[in-house]
Amino acid sequence: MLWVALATAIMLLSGELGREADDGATLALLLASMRKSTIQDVADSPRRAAALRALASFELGLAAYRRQLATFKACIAAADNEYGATRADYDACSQPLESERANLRASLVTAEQDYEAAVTQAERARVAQAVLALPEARLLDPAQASKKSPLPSRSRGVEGVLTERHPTLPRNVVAVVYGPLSSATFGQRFPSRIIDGGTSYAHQDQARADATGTPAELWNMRGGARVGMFDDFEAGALFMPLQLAPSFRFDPVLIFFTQQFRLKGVDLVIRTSFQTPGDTGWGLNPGTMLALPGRKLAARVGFFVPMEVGTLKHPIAPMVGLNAPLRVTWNLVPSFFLSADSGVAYDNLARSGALEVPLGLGAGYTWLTGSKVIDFTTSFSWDHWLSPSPEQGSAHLAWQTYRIAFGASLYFQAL
Amino acid sequence: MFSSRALVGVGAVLGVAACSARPPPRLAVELTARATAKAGVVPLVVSDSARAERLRAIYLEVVSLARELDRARVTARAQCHTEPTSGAAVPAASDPIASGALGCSIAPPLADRTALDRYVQLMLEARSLLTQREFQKLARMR
Repeated sequence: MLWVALATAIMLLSGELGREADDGATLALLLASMRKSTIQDVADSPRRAAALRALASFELGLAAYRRQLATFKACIAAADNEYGATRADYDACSQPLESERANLRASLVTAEQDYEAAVTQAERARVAQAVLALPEARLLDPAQASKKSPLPSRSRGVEGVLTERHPTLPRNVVAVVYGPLSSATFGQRFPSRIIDGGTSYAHQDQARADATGTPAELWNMRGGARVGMFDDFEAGALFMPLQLAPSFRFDPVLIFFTQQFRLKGVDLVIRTSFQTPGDTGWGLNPGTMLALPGRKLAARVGFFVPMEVGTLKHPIAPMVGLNAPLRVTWNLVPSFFLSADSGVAYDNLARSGALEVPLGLGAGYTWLTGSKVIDFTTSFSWDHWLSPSPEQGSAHLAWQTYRIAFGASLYFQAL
Repeated sequence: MFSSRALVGVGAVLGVAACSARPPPRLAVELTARATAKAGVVPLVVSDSARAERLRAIYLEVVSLARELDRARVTARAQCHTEPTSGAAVPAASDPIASGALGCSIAPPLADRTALDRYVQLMLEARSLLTQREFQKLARMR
């Protein structure tokens, strides 16, 4: 219900509901304007009454037209959902419409003649002027015929096969995120923490734990939601960020806004994320991403500048990093995929020799149930796998520091 | 204080939106919505890639047909100005009443027959490519 309300509110505020609506409401507005203007401009009472009677016939005609359309659409929808439907079933929908439409037009011609007989030329001109002054009168403008259809340029259905998905959700599609490998958590590596959805267990060797002052073993649960607000813009948050062990606490909430530009075969993405204040204050992670969706194989590469900047009450020296993640995903079959993650990360530019190459593997199963799609995902990653030029010593691999995450994310259409 | 007021405001907007009546969408919008809801998940329902490919093409063609339906509807209305209904006078096109445009706009002639015929043809072809179980799975999407 919340998602339906949110999607409806966005559609309402952006004018999309009006653009998608049939013309009945607009025509009703034009008729109401004609009625108002007729009452004002036709001074002679018997002629005014005759004109208003003619207008009432128009209004009845419009109501009949809207009923015909609703019946027709319901008939087509019923045929579409019936496996055994034949051409005869579809024809049965449109045949009555033709005769009903002809009858309706004939009655409207009579109403029109009655109206014209009731008003003078000058009164009619004033009424026409009032009607044409309305923005809705563009419906009567023949130039509209040459304009492009206002249907959306992007499909608004749930995207199924993982490699074919775009980085942002289609409009009115909602994702309940509780699993790793989600588009929204790709590249969410801040100087002091790495954020991914689902339940995760992170282990690090004691030397690293001592050096960073963080626990050697860490359990987290992170869940949230993403919403496709416009055709290529989504917003979301991981608003259930819990640290389960070694001690229970609420972690900072991650909020993100993503704008996508669909180019030929490539999606260019701009994303801004921020974290509510934690131990290191506010976190910001602006960046950009290139995504190459494909039938079987997809790739994503990003460039982000994560930073933790403290708060006004507790200022710290800002920690700024660089992160260029890379993910390749392969759909072995439409419902099962494997992924590999790598890239380069420099968590804190103030420290020398902090360049790291992560390595990760993931897998997932996509399940269609009813009208919803669920991704069951799991990942295993060495977030600090290779240090090519550490401050002390030579290049080394860190096999003992790893993270396991698993969970499920649910996708559905809110409207 | 401010944040609680803001939350109440957002809640009120969402409440009004949830309770407000949605104007009925155009036929083209409904057909597009039904087709696109299925197009994305076809490969998850139909394991045979050739059938899945053709079905997806069918659903995407419905989207372009819906555009044609929209265009036909607008063109039919535009013709109301150039071909007034019989019995109506033919004065200036800027007069929506006297030109017969209003009656014609309320009930424009059915000019979208070709697109509708093609739509029916595509829907019947889709059935021929799907088993009943697959069809029902896809129908549940919308």
